[in-house]
Amino acid sequence: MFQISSKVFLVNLLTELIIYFIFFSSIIGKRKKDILIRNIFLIVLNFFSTVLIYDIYEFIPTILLIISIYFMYRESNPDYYLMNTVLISRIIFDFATIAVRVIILPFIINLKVLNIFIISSENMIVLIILIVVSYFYRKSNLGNIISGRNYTLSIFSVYILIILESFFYFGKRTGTTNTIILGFSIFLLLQLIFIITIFIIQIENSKMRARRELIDNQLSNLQYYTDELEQNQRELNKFRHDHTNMMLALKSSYIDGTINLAMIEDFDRYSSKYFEGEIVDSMGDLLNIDDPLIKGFLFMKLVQMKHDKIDYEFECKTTISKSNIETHDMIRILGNSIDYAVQEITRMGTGKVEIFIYQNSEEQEFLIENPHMKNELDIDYYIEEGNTSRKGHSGFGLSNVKEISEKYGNLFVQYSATEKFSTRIMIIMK
Amino acid sequence: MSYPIIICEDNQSQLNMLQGIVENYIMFHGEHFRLGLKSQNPDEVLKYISNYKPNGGIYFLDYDLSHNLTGIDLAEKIRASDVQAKIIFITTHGEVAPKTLKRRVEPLAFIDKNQHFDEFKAEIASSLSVAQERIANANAIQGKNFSFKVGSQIYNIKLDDILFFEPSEIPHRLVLLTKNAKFEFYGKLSEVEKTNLGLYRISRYCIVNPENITLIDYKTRDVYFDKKINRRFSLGKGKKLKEIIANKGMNLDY
Repeated sequence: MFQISSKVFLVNLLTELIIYFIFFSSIIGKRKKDILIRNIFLIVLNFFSTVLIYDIYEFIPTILLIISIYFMYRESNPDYYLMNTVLISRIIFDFATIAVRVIILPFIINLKVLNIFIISSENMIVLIILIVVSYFYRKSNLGNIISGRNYTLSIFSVYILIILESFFYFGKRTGTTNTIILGFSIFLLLQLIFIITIFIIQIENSKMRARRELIDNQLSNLQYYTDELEQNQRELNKFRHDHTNMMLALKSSYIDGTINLAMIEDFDRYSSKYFEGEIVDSMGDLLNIDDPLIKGFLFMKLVQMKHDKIDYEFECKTTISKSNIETHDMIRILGNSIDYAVQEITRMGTGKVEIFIYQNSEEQEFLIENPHMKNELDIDYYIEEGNTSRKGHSGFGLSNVKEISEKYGNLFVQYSATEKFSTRIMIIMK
Repeated sequence: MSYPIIICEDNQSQLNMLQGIVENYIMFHGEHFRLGLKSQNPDEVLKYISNYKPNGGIYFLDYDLSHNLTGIDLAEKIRASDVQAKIIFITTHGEVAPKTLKRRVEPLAFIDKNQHFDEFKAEIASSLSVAQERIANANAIQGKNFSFKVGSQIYNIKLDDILFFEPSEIPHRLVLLTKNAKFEFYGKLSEVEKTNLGLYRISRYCIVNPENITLIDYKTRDVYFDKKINRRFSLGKGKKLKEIIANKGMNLDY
């Protein structure tokens, strides 16, 4: 077991905290609160806390660090993204520290005391490793995986962190850190492989669950289709029957010489009533959508609105091909946007939902519009989680749209609230 | 400067009727307009715009031209050549898909040819008035817009409406918050800074339009745009902000 002087210990502690916070700041991404001032405060807080309580119980400084960062940076309740980022950054930091110690151990094994030069060199190598990790972390967009409400990841991270801290704790207490570090590293690696395997299985299971849900939805949409088609067929049969009778009557009247304008206008009115059916028109436009799941979903929404007596307008005159956005996500985005529009119409008691879908060689566009009551609240307020113009309603819908849209680089969601509230979803095709 | 009016209608008698209405309007209101072309053939319209390259012409197009070029096809070609064109479709009720048409060619209006003559004439006159207004407005606000592109869509946002720009959570994207809307597009804050629209960078993460600041809190270093929207400015930016606000004659100290 190596020894270090108090001065070196303090310098090392401060350096490690600074390095850790540099790494954490580089991967947490943009936060609403001022990062630099908060980091300085947290470094000072954790430095003095560690100095005071380290000898009492070595776990406490790490726990305090995680809790203090969480409460200082929290932007929602609970903030899973922040919690997971703190835990993962701490794990990576501990890993880097262990890795560096394993690498330089052969060179310092015969020393009894570690001087400031060795400690500084170790910290410098840790910093370099973390800079490289941070670069690949941001490049691979790992933040997006963490950004889901993924408490499973939090549990796994806590588990790994406990193992790491236990190693540091027992190693220090028994003075065998250097002896067991290699064996422990292998043990840790095996644990990691196990955890990652479980995590991947869990992700695959939830994907399968989502797929099953989609299939269930498709079946239910198919049911809607069948019911509506049967209804349309019945109406067509009736119309055919009436049409035949009316034509016969008109022909006889012509032969008799008793035909008049009123009879023709009656016939015209009756025919127009059949052809003005909204569902007939909408079904025609829905045929332009290639993806059967999205087509079925939209059809179900239109039928629901018709049954709930919500006035709507639907236009889709261009062919809409399948895009790279996962159908599951596309359905969620469209569903949330349409549901928001329907809520507003229901609340206001008037107005209609306007849905417009369009594609050209460069992009697809899904535009959902509804009237709204202008008030002082801003767009950001509506689409942040938990906010709504309605009391007692969670206002969750549009924040889901925001969350999903952040997964895709070619998906843009624009909001506007002038005479109408519009959600414009654009998918760039190339 | 006068703007040309171009009429394209495949039916001769309707073409003559439209010509009569337009010439009547020009006689009484339209020192800014002249009749550039009337034709039954869309190819002649294309020849006209190729020869004269009008900018801000007014085009009355029949929706169905009985030609391999439809009214929409013609409108797209016109729009490609004359970006400021004001396009008015003369249609039969129910034959158009208004939103799709608007998306493709941004027409000024649709006028139903099957209505009573007086109403038809009034709508033509009304659309010409609107065209005139828009031309006047376009000239007045030249250079006072911020433009960006998403796919093939170009957005022109009035400077007066802009609150601020900040980076999105998605890399390489910016968020633009206006008084009534929120946009995202690919871009960099450094490019926005270069636009020379009087915007000011208050931190590494935010460029604001000082005209829309309602309050500055120098203690917490926040600028407010209304009660609920605020952004933090960096140390050292406060002094310059004070200068900018003072130059604009605003008094926003808190």
